[in-house]
Amino acid sequence: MKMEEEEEIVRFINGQMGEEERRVFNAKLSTDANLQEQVAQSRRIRNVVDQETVAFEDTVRAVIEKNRRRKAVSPFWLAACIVAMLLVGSLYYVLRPTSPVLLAEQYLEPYPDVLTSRSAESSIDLTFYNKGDYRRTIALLQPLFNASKEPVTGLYLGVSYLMQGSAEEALTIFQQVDTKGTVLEKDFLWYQSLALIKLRQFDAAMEKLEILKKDSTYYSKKASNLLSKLD
Amino acid sequence: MELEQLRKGDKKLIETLYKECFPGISSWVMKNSGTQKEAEDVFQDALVAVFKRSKDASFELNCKLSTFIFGVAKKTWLYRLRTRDRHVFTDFTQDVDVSDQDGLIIEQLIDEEEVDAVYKRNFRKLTTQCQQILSLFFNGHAMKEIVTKMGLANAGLARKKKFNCKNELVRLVKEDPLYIELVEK
Repeated sequence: MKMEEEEEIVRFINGQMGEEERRVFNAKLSTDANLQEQVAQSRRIRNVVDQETVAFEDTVRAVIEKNRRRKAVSPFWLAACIVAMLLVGSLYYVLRPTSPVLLAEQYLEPYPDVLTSRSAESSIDLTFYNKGDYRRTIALLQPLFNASKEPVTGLYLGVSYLMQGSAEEALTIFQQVDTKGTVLEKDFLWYQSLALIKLRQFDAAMEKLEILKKDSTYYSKKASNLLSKLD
Repeated sequence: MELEQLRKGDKKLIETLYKECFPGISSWVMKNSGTQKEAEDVFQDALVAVFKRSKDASFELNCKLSTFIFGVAKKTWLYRLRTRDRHVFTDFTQDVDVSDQDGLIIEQLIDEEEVDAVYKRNFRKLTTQCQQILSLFFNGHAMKEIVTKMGLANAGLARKKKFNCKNELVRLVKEDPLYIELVEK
């Protein structure tokens, strides 16, 4: 085949012929087996090098690569990981061992105002105490306690310190009062143990709780429960 | 509409076709002795085959484009399995919802693609200069342009080189065992 003929074939397969030239070429093609083979071969080569096809292949490959990378961190697995972490976290939160300090916090309740209900002429004013305003209660009771060291004042003052998170000051107050043999002895023991736990003096706290446990007062069951949890 | 987008090589359409077709193709290929990488190659080849065919103005489909591509991909993989003597577990007709007419087009398209693949493989065996000159020539560049781009002495030399390169490619193809098998089929 002549070299010029091949250029004609390429123009034919690339659609670069005019109408008349194309008609003549088609007529020749329909009767020339050799030309048919040449056209077929040229089409194959054109298919291999066709720039549009090469560009299309590149685009498809890019889409495949992009999706492969995306799959590497698929949203499903990302969501699954987050859910798993939340579950583990929640499980840990529910089953976690409660720290002794938190336990003391859970058991801490203000000592009830038995004075106001018993007598309208009480020596101390528990108005702020009953409102949960422990800062003002302390301001009011501290001078009274300093002057009298009176157990009732000491109890409400100590409990107020505990309630506002000042365990050390509470313990100092409790230790200044001698309640042995009085009706408030067990009350002081209970609040002292809570203060001691908050101050991480667990042995001393447990010693006092053991005393309460053996007693048949209101604190006996609470002390027993707290001891079992502290163990 | 989709065919028109395909003819233009629309990237959004390719993304859509990937989402619609690839999970199924991947699952099917992997069920039939293939790997994820082979599934990707099959998807790409199927899409390119349909892209090439879509340039033919008379090309029409009686089914969804994604269904057709799915069919081409499956048939392509089956053909490759046979040539590699690997086992096929699934019947081709089982999951492909195409008409007889489209099934016939797929058959023809696969045969055409396999011949193209032989040409492509042997084209890569040519020298870089041969690949460049054939690429320019068959993409319709004028000889003068080829002379300039390739830094050749004159158009006569360019024609001679192109002629020799093409003959070398045709020789390689005709000696390719797969081509012989395809021609005898």
